[in-house]
Amino acid sequence: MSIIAKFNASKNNIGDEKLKKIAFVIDDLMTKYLHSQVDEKTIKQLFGEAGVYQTVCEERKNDSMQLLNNKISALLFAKTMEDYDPKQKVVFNEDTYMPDENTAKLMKKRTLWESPIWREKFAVNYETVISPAVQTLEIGFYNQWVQVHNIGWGDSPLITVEGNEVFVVTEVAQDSFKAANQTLKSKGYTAVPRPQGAKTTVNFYDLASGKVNWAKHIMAIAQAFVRKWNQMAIEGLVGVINDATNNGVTNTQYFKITLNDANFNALVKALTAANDNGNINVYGDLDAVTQILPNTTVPTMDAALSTLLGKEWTSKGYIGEYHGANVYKINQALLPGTINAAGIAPNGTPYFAAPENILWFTNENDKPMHLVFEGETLSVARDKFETGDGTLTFLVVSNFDMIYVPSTKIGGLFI
Amino acid sequence: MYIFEKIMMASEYGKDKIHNVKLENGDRDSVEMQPGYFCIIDSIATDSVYSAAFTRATGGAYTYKNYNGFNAKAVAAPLTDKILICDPREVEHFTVNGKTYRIGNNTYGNSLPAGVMGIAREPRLHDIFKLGKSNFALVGGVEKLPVVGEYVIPTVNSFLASVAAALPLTGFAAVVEEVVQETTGAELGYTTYICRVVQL
Repeated sequence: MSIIAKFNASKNNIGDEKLKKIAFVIDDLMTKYLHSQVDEKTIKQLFGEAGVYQTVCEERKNDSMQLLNNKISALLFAKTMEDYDPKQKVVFNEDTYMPDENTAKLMKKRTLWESPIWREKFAVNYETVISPAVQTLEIGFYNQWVQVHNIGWGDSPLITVEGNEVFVVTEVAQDSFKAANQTLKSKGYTAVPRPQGAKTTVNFYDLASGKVNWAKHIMAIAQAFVRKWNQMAIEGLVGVINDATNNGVTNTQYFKITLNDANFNALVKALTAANDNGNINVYGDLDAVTQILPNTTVPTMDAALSTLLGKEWTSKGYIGEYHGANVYKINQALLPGTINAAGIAPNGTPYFAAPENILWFTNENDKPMHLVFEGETLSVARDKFETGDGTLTFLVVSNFDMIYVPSTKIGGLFI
Repeated sequence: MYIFEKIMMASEYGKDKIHNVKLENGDRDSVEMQPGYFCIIDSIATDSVYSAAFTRATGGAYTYKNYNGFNAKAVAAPLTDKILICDPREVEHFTVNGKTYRIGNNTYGNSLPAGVMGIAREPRLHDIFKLGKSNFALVGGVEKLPVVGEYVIPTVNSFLASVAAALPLTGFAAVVEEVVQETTGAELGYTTYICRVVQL
């Protein structure tokens, strides 16, 4: 079972039937939300193989996202009240899942939300129901770039890479049965997961009035971790190319410092030969891949554009295949806190997460980065709750490490 | 062995007395954190991943602050500094040929590697905790360990503690209540010094 399917299936293991139902409703809500925000092809690519987030169950397929949000708020509140004070009855409309007058008053009761016992019980239920969705989304949005491992608490993950040289066959004398020793040496890599997390917030008034947008809240948590992993992977790979080229000064067999046909071909040939695999993928920022053309001098690329290349290059901004390699554009992200910034003067260049001047060469299906989780992939710290400023805060923490494991050769090229 | 163990501390009950810290030396290089180290907060911690990303994106050195914690350094003025006591969470591990192996579940006596965030506790009056032999600074190259009734105080430019026969006029001080031979497994393990905070 793929790791995405495994994380998604964890909701089947929730012991409490009511909490399990909430987790399934969240699953359907995230399916609808994803289909409203992300194109179908991407959803299929990320989650199709695992069979998650493809369809909504029959019972809820006609429910709007608003209704599903109401349902989650109602069920979560009701279950927590059952745990907190079984004698206290709460009533929600069967069709809209909006609270009746008494229940609405109860939901808005400040002393309820300030009770440590209530908050503890709410947090337990909150963690139980959102964890499967957050974990699935995190890994799904990230699965294409890394291999994911999950180890037990205190374990040491050892990733062993077998030697990629080959034995050399040469002549021996008839009947001597004597030859020189040759060994292929493997190498091990370990990761040491450390805790990283963020305090997320839920608006207390939204929660009390049943208006929380759970889909956005869950997606925000998943995206927070994905962004950090993205950045760890990017910095890891940038470190590799900088070390190899002495910070963009020296050409090597697998890393080049100038874009031209000779270097591009050299990388394709070297990686194909080294990895015994001719399916080479080239990834880069739009500004990088757009320059992969028969003639890399911008003023004279009219000749290239006037051929059949022009239509694809004009519409996509790059050519999908070049000299035996598949070319892909990386979608950029903005660094945290800069989405509304004015950018770098004088041109206001945005603060992009990935470098705009590097092309990455990998073999198809090659994932040189390894993300290692320790213990459960997500936990909510329940010992400290805040309600002082109208928000409930939850510290969401995960123990993980990301390491670069060169199991096959990768290449890079500075533009 | 470097040892820190809380016996009765306010920070066990209030998160306001716990801080996430990374230790640095005088050159602002990261250093490993041993249990029981004394330190003082110096600046807000940084996130190395986002610092590298912003440095590349902005074209100049950039420090991305990690408001989850602080950089801490050795005690500079023992008579006035407000010290924290390090209590890193780590299992036994060893590193060979660049690979780190965690080899057991023992949580005492283990250091945190340099650059990793660990817990540091703000002591309060009457807190009681244990320190190990290695937590005390050498004097003239010779081991100087406290006896019952003597005082444990910070050491200038060091993460280690020193021994004072008398209570200093100001600054952090804890009196040694007892010297204990700890049992590990079914045999004698290591020596600890039970300290009670008498002055902040």
